[in-house]
Amino acid sequence: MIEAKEIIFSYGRHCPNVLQNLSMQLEPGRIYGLLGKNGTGKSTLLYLIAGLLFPQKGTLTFEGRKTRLRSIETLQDIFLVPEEFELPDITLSQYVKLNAPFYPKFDHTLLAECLREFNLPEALHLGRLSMGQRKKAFLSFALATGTRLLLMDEPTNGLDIPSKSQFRSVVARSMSDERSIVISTHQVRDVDMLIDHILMLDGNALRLDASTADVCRNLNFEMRTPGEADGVIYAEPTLSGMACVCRNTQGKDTQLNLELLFNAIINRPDLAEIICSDENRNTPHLT
Amino acid sequence: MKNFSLQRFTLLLRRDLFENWKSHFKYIGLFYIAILILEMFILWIDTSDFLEYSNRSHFVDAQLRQTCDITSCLFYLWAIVGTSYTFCCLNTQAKRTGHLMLPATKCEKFVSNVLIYSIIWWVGSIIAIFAADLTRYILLLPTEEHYPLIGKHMSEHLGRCCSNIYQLFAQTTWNIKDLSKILFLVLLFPWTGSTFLLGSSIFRKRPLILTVLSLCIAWGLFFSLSAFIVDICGNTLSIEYNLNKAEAPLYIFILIFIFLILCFVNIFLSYRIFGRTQIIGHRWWELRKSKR
Repeated sequence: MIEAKEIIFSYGRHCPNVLQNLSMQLEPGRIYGLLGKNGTGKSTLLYLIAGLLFPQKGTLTFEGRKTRLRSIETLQDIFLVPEEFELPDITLSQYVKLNAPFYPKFDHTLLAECLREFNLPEALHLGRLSMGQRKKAFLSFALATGTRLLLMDEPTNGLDIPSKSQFRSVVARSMSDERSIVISTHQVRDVDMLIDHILMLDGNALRLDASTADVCRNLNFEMRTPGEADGVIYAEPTLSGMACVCRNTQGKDTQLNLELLFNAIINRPDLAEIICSDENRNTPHLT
Repeated sequence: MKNFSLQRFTLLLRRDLFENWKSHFKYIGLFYIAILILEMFILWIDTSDFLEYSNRSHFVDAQLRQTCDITSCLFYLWAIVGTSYTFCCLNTQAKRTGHLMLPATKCEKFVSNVLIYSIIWWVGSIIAIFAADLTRYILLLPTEEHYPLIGKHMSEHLGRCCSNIYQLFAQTTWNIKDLSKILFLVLLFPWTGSTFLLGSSIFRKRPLILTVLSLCIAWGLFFSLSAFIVDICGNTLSIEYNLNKAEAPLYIFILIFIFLILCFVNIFLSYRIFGRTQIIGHRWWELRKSKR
């Protein structure tokens, strides 16, 4: 679907490269979590994919078409939910009436379902909503556009606690085998139950590009007492003991702790190689 | 044509007009108020010249002519203001994201913006002029100062301009001054419009002020350079020469051609800059065609 080849990008001639020789592929039917520290280029990568920024070197294509050309076919199949957006001072129904015709696969039923899930009435005036409500209304519209690629930059920012679980629910509901969603966030707990592929940016490169299944196949996430250090790759103290990342040698299935994994990869760059290794691919899993 | 769909263009135009109708209405309202205040001031309050005229009808005519002239100048300035806001949909990152991600071609978006902030803006302004005039007429009805609507004088004013141009063409000999008049009357409006369109695509914040400043600098440099050349030539360069009727059209044609080329270059550059807009600041070297 999306193919990036050796992308180099910087915000100016004399600025350091935000992305250096980045290559990756996005496949349909997956929800990607784009993770990284502040300033590592998460939003930049989303904008590059959307064709809103042009790489200095390398190519970025969507279904074989360069995204920087912003062709009509590409724009009809990519929707971006930026962190900051503006909505006109009109009602939601007017907004939908004016904007939905641009998206050939717009699904009015899905829009109604998303609004219902977010507890938003259909008779909304976009100019009179709180920030969280505006975000929910915009997310509902974005999901209903039916684009094959949906890019979201910090979508859970500004949402209250119940809305975050509603968000996960509407995203899961809108998924299909043809669609791909990329969620860029630093609030990993909001999306760890949702994503099935992790893209982790660090130091202007893609540090990890692996499915959650691969991560869980190769690593265990356990709580241990400070004395139990055997097989531990990375550990950090918590109130209830040591949160550890260990090599999954016995094929055990543990729940993915995205925050711990993130910290582990930042501190142990070689961990990405362990995750991507095929060592445990055929090991039977114990639950 | 793959690059332009009339159906999508109509949707885009409808969307832009409807989503921003409050802002458009506000600007037309402002112009309406300005014209109303101006007319009320000239036709009702400012009667200081009354004694200079032999009878009231001459005074009324002079007042109406003066109103027409000032209104025309205001319309011209207002049209420039409109054109310089053609790409106001790109002045914040959020707006840029929304506009650039909308599924329409660059050409459709460009034409839609230009149409809204030139033709539709001008039409709106003309309606505002007539509405303000009608309001003034109604407001002054109960008073003794009765003035007719300026519509008739406006058409006479336009007729005078056309007549001036015709008279210039009908002359047997031409001079540089006449040619400048023609250029000024015929070509200034499209050239200024296209220049402010270019300014709008270059300057995302305060396009009007920055374009005016840039033009001042450009004209300043141009006149300094001209003065410098004249100085080097030791005042031997004389541009005071007459042209006969046979060769005048050729010169006019050349000048019109140059002006049209300048207009085309401005519009082309605006389109190119608009088409290559990213959500970050401009980079001049992006104007070059990239082979990537």
